[in-house]
Amino acid sequence: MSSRTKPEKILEVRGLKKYYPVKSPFEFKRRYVHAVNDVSFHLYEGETYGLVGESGCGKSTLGRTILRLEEPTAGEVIFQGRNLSALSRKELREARKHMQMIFQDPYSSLNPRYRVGDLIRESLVIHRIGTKKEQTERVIELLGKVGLQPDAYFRYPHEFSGGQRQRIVIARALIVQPRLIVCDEPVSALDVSIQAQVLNLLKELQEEYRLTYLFIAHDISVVRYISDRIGVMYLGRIAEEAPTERLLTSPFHPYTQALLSAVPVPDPETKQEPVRLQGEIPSPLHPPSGCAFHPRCPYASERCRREIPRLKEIAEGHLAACHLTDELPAERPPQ
Amino acid sequence: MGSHLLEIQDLRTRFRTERGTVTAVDGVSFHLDRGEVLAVVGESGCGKSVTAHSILRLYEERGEARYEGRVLFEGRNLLELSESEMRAIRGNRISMIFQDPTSSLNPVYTIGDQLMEPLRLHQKMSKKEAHDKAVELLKLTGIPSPEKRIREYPHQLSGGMRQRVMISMALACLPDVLIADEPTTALDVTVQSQILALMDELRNRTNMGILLITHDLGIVAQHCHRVVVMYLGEVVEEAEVRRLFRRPLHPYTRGLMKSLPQMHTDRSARLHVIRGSVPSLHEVPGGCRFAPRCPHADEQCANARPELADAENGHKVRCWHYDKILQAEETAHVIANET
Amino acid sequence: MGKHRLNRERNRRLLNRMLANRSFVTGSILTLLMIALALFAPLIANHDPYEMDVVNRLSKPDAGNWFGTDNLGRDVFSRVVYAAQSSMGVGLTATLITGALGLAVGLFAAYYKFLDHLLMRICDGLMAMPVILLAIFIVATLGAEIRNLIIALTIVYTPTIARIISSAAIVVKEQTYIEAVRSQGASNPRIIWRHIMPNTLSPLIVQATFIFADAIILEAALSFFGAGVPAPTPSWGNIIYDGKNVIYNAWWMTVFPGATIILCVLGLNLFGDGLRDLMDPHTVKK
Repeated sequence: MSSRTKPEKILEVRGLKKYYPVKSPFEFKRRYVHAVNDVSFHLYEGETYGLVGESGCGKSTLGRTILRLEEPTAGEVIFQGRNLSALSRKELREARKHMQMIFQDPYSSLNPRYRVGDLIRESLVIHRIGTKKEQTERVIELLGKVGLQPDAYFRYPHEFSGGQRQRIVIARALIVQPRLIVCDEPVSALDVSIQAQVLNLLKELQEEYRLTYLFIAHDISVVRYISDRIGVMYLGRIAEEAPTERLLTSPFHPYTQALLSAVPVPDPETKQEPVRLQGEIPSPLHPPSGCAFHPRCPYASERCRREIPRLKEIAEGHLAACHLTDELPAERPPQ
Repeated sequence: MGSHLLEIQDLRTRFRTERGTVTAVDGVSFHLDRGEVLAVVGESGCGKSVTAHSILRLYEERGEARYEGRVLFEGRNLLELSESEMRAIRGNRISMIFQDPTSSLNPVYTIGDQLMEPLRLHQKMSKKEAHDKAVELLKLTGIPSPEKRIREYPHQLSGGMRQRVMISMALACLPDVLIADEPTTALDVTVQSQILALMDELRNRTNMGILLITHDLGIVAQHCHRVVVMYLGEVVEEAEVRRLFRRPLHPYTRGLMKSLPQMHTDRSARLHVIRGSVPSLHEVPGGCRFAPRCPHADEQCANARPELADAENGHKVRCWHYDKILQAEETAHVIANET
Repeated sequence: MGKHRLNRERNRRLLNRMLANRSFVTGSILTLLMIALALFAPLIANHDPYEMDVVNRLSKPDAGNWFGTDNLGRDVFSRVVYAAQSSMGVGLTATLITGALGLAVGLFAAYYKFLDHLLMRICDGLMAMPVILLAIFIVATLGAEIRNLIIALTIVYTPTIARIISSAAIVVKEQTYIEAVRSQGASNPRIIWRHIMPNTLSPLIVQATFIFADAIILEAALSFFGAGVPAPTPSWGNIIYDGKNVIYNAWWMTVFPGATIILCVLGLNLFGDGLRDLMDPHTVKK
């Protein structure tokens, strides 16, 4: 059917779980926060996969667990063909050259005691890449690539604005020439006009260096702009995954529909009728039985309460975890 | 038109800092009427939050802050009232809700205690009366099982619930004006939608005026009647929401809207960028404050500060060349569409 | 590049802030004065501190003996000046060792959960004991030598530093930049020493100045019990000890060393306060 050559899968996540134990002095049974609750997906080389969701959905934890900044409770992460969970500490450190992270808070992601030049250079020092002179050249080169002046090399982080700090963080991530970059809410803390600059930069760099991005954010318009495919998370699981345009024009999962309709559109002529969900997002300490969304879902049935829906492909590249998929192709739920 | 519910005239708020005096709000004027929602929009450092805080004189006057100008409410200038007169207004006639519900609620008191405080203070209710009213208020803002919740502590509630409690507290005495400073920024988008709907409903019921501070143009478009756009301590544009979105006049507003990724933005194109960044309040440019970043600025813009002038039908803008810029951009747009 | 110009500008601004801070300036002057006493003792003292002149014992301050003489006829002024060397020397050494040890203990306790319980409980135990009693006990057990005095001071003060460093390190550990450097592949030792440690230095340095002041007082107290710097080496504490029995006749043996201790401790405390002021706003500058 499609004559596209399938690009390589650079990352495969299978059944990933991350539970945090919570010690409550009032209870004897050990409780867990089910931050990531059986997540599977994959990334193709060179694409941007956007991960959206609200509080408690686990998207940040997922990003960190993939990089093994948190040890997974279960499941596997296969990166460039290697199972990251099986690597020794030494091998993992080496693997870290190829996968980097960009963080949300530009104010706490840079060590205030070091100059920018040293901060960017750090990875090269850790992995013993290049001579001192070569390292310096590379740092200056990257400063230019992210749009900063060479004299930034000698300055301290507190001398820069939020947007500039994010550029420094990006330069720091790029210096080891990674293949994959996990971007954890990289523009959420920035003003709209600065956000545009940083997003443009990320896109340019992706093209130039053939990077793969896992872009985690809560702002759907931003995710839509930068992503090729989008995954929607709810309470530790992926509810729906699809190519960007398809997800936005034909969302299947009731949660996705509610989420998209709740985003206020900056156009007063468009009258929105947001789907008003009942109640609030449950705590990841007590995820509901069966489908995590069933207590708030307008279409919930008995089955939804009992059985956890699996991600099923409902169209090419479009997957949804909802029992309503069984009713396809006859009728899709109204939007 | 009759007098406005709240009218700010030429407000200036100065702060004394280590590095000299900073004028965070420099000659801001606008008004709010009953039953309407006025949005104050801008990015960091524009002074929108400071304006809101200044209306209620929340900054410590003996130490850091100085106010100038007039804040007219019910025929009185709030800036000239005594501290005790102000206290009678705060939480009672003019209420405020803040961005972060977590730190706005005292963790050591129950929700009930905090809710009952303004009631007992301003309306001199007995404990029982206040308790019943509090339960009623919680119900009003959509909190389930309010009789149970009223005895709970802030940390036992979610962010959305806490914001509802804040709204309850703010509305306890049926104020005429509600100032909401980024009330939903810290909340999830589905919760945000609930809270904004709640505010709309309450406004319809009580006919209060809402001053909504936000940076989210989507919220402005969907929930507000009029907008004031601020930049570096000044109002640069003011209009009815529909007019502003249909034809923004100020280059800053235009730039801002163009740099927003929206649902119909071309994903393969670069986002529009307003070049440069917001200068520090210690180094305010002479002339038009936006000139250094404006693609259309000229000599006049660099040297002379434009006034906030009426462009058409109540749509005000602070720019020397807005009409020429508008013409040029629209012509270019037409040409682009023709080719 | 612009490196030198930037550095000069930064240093100039720092200098201005330092000079504007009264505590810092006063403290520095007093402290430097005391250090000068210690360093230039031979030049400042006008007598040999060990030379006895029994005929003139316990004589009042006069032109020849500015602070009078002690019970063995030694010149009190010269002894007080030379005492700066031992009192401050002991204090400084103890502070440096305490600082280094406390830093290491604090950092490891903060970074490694299992060590935290062990180390902090030991510190708690040590801190539960009254400082003077603990110090006397250690000196009594090991013997009255300067080396043991320093050991006692170190054992007494290390837990305080360890706790402070540990608290600061726990906060730093949670910062995003630490996670960032871990994601770059940094090893644990590198994270601890290159990334966490520099961010705990400000509280360390400030606290160290206070410990230095405390150590001087403690040394004096120990000497007062006869457990301090052993005779005939003068220390501020043991001069007072010698003058204990003749306090009404020869007030100068108590007053002058006492005043010197006060000035020294005051100087160090002011210096520490000023330092703390200077260091805090540095990171809050937004």
